[in-house]
Amino acid sequence: MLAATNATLAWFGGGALAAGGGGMALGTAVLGGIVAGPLIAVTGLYMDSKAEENLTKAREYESEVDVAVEKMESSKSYLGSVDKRIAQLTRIIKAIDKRYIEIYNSRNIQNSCNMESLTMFFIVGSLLKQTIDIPILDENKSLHKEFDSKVSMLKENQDVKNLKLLEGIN
Amino acid sequence: MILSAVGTKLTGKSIVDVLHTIAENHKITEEQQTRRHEISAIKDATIEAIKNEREIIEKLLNKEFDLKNSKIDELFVRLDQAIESNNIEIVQSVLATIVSLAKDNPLAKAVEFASLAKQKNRGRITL
Repeated sequence: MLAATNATLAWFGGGALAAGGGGMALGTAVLGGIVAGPLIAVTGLYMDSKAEENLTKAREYESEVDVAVEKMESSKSYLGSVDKRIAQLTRIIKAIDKRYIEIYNSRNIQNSCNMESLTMFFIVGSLLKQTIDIPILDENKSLHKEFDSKVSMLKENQDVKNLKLLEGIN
Repeated sequence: MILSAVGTKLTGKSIVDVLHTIAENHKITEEQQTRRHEISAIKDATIEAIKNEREIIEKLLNKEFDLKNSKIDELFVRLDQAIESNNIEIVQSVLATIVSLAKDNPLAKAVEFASLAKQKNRGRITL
């Protein structure tokens, strides 16, 4: 039995040492290779499949990030428009205010009893007040709300990240 | 002899296993490559749609702001003339027009357009 085993191992090694082969030592190594080789190959292929799946997940995440960045660009652009809207309203308010003060000074409103001047002063003043009261954003509550929710979502995410960071430190 | 038989048996089984794993790996690789192409195509389409929407809204808003600003400038010229000539009725009417123009928010139009665009794209582009 032992002789048969040794002979087989020597056969795997290319024959006995005396016959010019690798002998039992090489035979044992070859047999080990025969068993381990496929195992390594199968493991490698399994890892390769997993790597493919992980690469897909990474690409998916990358896409989500790219889309989120583009949406942020749109939000930035929207904020630029809000800025323009503020500038427009400021310009109108300043222009009416300038006329309001001019009427007050040029017509000496403080001491005037002239009904025409007082009426004009009152009209300009009341429309100035109406202009000041114009809301900048609330006319488009949907976008405003959406924007608010996005900001609070980002804030929440940041809070969670900060919390995790703190947990990591502690 | 026994070891030889075991070795042969192991080798035979292992080769089948390896071949099976190769086939499986090939299938998974192809599936994942296809999915990655899909992801990339959807991402490009989504980004393109967002960019287009943004560009249109920007153009729309710029046009609206420019148009309104020039109208308001004209109205202020008329307001000055009315103040100069003490014409209270015209002062009131011009100022009311200015205030109504100021109240008309161009951003509301952008919101309307954005929601229309979203409805149009709904279900078509999803990651």
